[in-house]
Amino acid sequence: MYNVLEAENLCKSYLNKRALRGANLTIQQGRILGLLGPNGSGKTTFLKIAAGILHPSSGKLLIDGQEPGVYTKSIVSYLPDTEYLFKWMKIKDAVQYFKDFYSDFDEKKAFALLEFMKLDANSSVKSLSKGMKEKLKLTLVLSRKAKLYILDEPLGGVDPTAREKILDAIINNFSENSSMIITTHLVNDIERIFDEVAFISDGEIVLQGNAEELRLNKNKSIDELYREVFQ
Amino acid sequence: MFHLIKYELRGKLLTILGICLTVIIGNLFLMTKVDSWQIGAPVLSGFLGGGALVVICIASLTLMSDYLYDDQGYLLFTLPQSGVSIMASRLITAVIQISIVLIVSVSMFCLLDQGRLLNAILQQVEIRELLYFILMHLWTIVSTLTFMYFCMVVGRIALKGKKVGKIGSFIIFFLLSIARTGLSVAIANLFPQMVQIHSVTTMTMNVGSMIFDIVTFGILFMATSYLLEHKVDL
Amino acid sequence: MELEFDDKMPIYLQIMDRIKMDIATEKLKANDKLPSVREMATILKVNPNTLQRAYQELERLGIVYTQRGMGTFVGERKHMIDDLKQEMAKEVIDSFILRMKRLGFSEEEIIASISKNITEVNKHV
Repeated sequence: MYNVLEAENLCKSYLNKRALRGANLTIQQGRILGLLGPNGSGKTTFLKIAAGILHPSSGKLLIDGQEPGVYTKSIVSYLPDTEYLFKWMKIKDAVQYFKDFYSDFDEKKAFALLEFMKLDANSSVKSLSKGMKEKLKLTLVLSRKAKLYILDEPLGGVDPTAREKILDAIINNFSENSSMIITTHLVNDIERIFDEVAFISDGEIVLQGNAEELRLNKNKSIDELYREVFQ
Repeated sequence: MFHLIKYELRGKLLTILGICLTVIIGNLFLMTKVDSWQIGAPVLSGFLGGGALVVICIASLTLMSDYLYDDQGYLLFTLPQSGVSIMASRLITAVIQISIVLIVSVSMFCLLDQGRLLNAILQQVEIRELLYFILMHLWTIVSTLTFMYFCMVVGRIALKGKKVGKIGSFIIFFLLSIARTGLSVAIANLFPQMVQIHSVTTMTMNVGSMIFDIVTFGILFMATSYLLEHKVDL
Repeated sequence: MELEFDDKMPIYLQIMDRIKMDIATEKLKANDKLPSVREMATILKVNPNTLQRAYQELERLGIVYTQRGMGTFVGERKHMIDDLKQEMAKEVIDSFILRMKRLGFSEEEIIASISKNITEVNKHV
């Protein structure tokens, strides 16, 4: 099967610390991978390299066979863990922005998703609560027909009802032609949507495998496994 | 690239409007005082216009630093846009917004002194010279900003932290400015050929330093574009 | 379909068990259409690939069949219901016996306790 993402011996060092020390990871087409690890384990660093906004110190990462750049950005839909929308924007401006810049953006889908998330296209981005902002970001990101979706903590700081909605939206809008990486530390809420999981600790992938096989072989839930690895 | 410019201008809309309104209202006020203040009114109008230009130039610098240091960078740098188009859109936006403020300030000034200065200038200036002024206006904005953007990007990449990066950028700017001026002067001495701009007055331009400026601009533009695309880490 | 998952066990096995159970108890009858993979994935909040796998396994076992472009249907093999009941009964009994033995009951004691409790359970059902 075809690998949408391949990372080989990926390293990223800063002056005073090494965020990634030789991470190896592959994701096949049509799969959802959970990248699990505590804060500071290198999750976000990895995702930022894949999104093309951080550059590795050594090793390589290929998306659809290419190094991160203009092409990969056009096929990667990235949900960052930051509030990156312009403050002057209304929700409909944000939708228009994505439509203007991404040729794979599906406006109809975006408005359907906004309705599903109970967001009003005329409210301004500034006025939204944290949960609503997260829903808006997810709407924008999922309305693209990307080859690879990268979701950094999509459930972070969101109340349980919003979590349900976000999970539903992810499952409904996932297609077998695309792949997804999701990071989280709320493993319990989301483990059933992973095909594969990779545990990242201290900048290294310490365990990667099929979620069902891991359950079968270890007789544990992914959540329990996570707690065991990261005690 | 067109879209990049559109959203840039939209983002700075309030700043541009605010500056223009201030200039217009300030000049309207000065117009009521033209008789009592005599020469003071046009002088103040000139200061007002100058101040407006300084503010909009600073706003043009934040076009870059907002993306380098704030979360908005996540929006810009994940777009499938090359470094060249990001850089070019930044410069075009800056030219447009500075020109808007300049045109508003100059028009208000002309209204204030009832076109006297404008007439005086137009009588002496040749079309060739006028074109030269306009070109120089655009060129100054573009080359200066490119130089400053380059320093900002280098500071951002070389130094960690917002404060350190910004101060570092300023120091880099300072040092490079000295180096650039020194080189430019040396070249002008080495190649003293001049081009006469005006047929009567002695307005001239050194060919050597002009070529030097164009070449440095080209190098800095490409270097900044490359750094934006391949080296900036958010 | 409501389903509480035990995340310690493979999800696809649990989904298979649930469908088998529904067929055995005739909630699902021969030639009934199962929900599409995507519908089911949304309802259960499970990865669509996991459901795909559950359906494929059921098909391999001859319990369901797929019609191109139509969907997945409950099979109409003879004795399927009885077979499923037998199979599931065996699973329940096997694990029951195993656990009783672990508790230290002898075979006679196990049979005796069943006879004793079956009347009590009957009262409640």
